[in-house]
Amino acid sequence: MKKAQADIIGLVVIVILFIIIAVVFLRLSTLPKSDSVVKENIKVSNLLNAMLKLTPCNNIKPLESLADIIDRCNNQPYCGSSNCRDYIKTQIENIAMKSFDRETYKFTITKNGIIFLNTGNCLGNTKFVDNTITPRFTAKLEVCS
Amino acid sequence: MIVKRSSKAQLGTIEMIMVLVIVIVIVVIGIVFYYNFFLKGIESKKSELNLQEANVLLASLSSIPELQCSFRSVTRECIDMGKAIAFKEVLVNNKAYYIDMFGSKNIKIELLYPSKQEGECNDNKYNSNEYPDNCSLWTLYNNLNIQEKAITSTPVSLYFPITKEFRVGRLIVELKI
Repeated sequence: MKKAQADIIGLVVIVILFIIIAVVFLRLSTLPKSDSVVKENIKVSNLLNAMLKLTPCNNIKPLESLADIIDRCNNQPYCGSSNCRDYIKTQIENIAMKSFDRETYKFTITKNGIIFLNTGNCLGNTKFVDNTITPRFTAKLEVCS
Repeated sequence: MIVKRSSKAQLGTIEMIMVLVIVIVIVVIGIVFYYNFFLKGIESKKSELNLQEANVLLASLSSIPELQCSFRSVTRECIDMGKAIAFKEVLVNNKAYYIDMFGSKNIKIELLYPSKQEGECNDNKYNSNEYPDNCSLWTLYNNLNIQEKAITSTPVSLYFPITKEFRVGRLIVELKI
């Protein structure tokens, strides 16, 4: 009788221990992970907004934003560059160089359904994308890491 | 017979006590491990919440009237650097109000592109003809003097009302980890 009781107590203790270990394991495995997707999407959106507002050429008055330059660009010379498209590409690349540390990017401008400009090289999976759609053109910035 | 029975009982009792001691030790070790993880979880949650608070501040800073661009009463998504310079003085004169709003943080604006010279922007550089080509960093709010800090930032469009130009910058918030 006593031996049987001792065996039962031992079994109960072991079962309780297993339950505690299982609860701890479940608790640790269901800890919520931090979600930075919203924060990073806002960053890409802000960068695209800042890029298009930039007034890069001080020689031409009144100052024109990059959005205006993109709109009026028809491969003519612009601000010391033989082709406005090359000028826009240079500006985008310079901004991206200052803004990104480890990420890569791809910037695409579409005018009238045709790809007007495509710069950058996305390495890895596309993480965050933002589009700006204006009546005149669409600009898309993809950031990859 | 009596001697054998009592020895057997004693052995059984000792066995039971040993088992109980081992079980108690295992349970105590389990509790210690669990609370260590629990405390670490709380610490990381605290850091995460601090960072989220800083991100909320970042998102709202470019829309506060003290900094936001406005053209003929229409607001735009950019920071007016003329207002930013004046804001530094407003902060000094209304420190209690802004300490309540911002807490222990540093708030800075960095000029990314185009940027010719690096360095802190002060009144002398602002009054120079070369401004804003002669500096690249504006410290708006400085209430955190520690080495180990977390930094969060977001790109912003910067408007310079003197030259009427837009540049690309970064709004930075530094906070305690």
